Amino acid sequence: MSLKQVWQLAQEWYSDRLSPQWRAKTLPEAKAALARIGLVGDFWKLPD
Amino acid sequence: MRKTFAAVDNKLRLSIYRHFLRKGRAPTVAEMAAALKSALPHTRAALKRLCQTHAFVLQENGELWRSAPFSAVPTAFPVTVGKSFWYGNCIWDALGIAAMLHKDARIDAACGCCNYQMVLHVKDGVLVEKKGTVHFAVPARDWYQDIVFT
Repeated sequence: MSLKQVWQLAQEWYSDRLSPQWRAKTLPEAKAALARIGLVGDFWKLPD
Repeated sequence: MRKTFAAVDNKLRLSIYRHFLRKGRAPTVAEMAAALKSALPHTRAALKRLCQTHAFVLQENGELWRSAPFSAVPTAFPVTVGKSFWYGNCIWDALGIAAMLHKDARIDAACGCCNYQMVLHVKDGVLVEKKGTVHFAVPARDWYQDIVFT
């Protein structure tokens, strides 16, 4: 992936990590986040 | 996570991050228990529940190995923010430290193929360097089968 994509990934996963309201992404949320960044296809497919 | 444990687990989670931020290293389980004024077995149980999120992983000795994005052990992804310094678990997590803190950061990484210096900077919420490729060797479906290898 490009540097731009890994930075987007870092922001998606961690920008709210210090919030008291933080919770782990659900599977649909994680899938949607990868898709937003353009990480699609079999390699980026999370398990159901 | 059962609702009855959620508040305790969240308190522990934030306490671990605060320790990393203050001290630049992971807390021991004994330090976690002391910070929460909790018995060691209760602290270990809460830590075990946090590990179900994959954000937290323990070493074989029961101490923290990672508290994503922080690594509790030295890695090839050192992150400097002002006068503070931490290790990320990988480049995703190293950038994650900058993203989590919403601060400028410098990551002293090296190229995965030639091992030449590959320093990255985050400034004003933007990754300064534009050219480069990040290689993931493990498909997403297998990331958590062996997170150390991933």
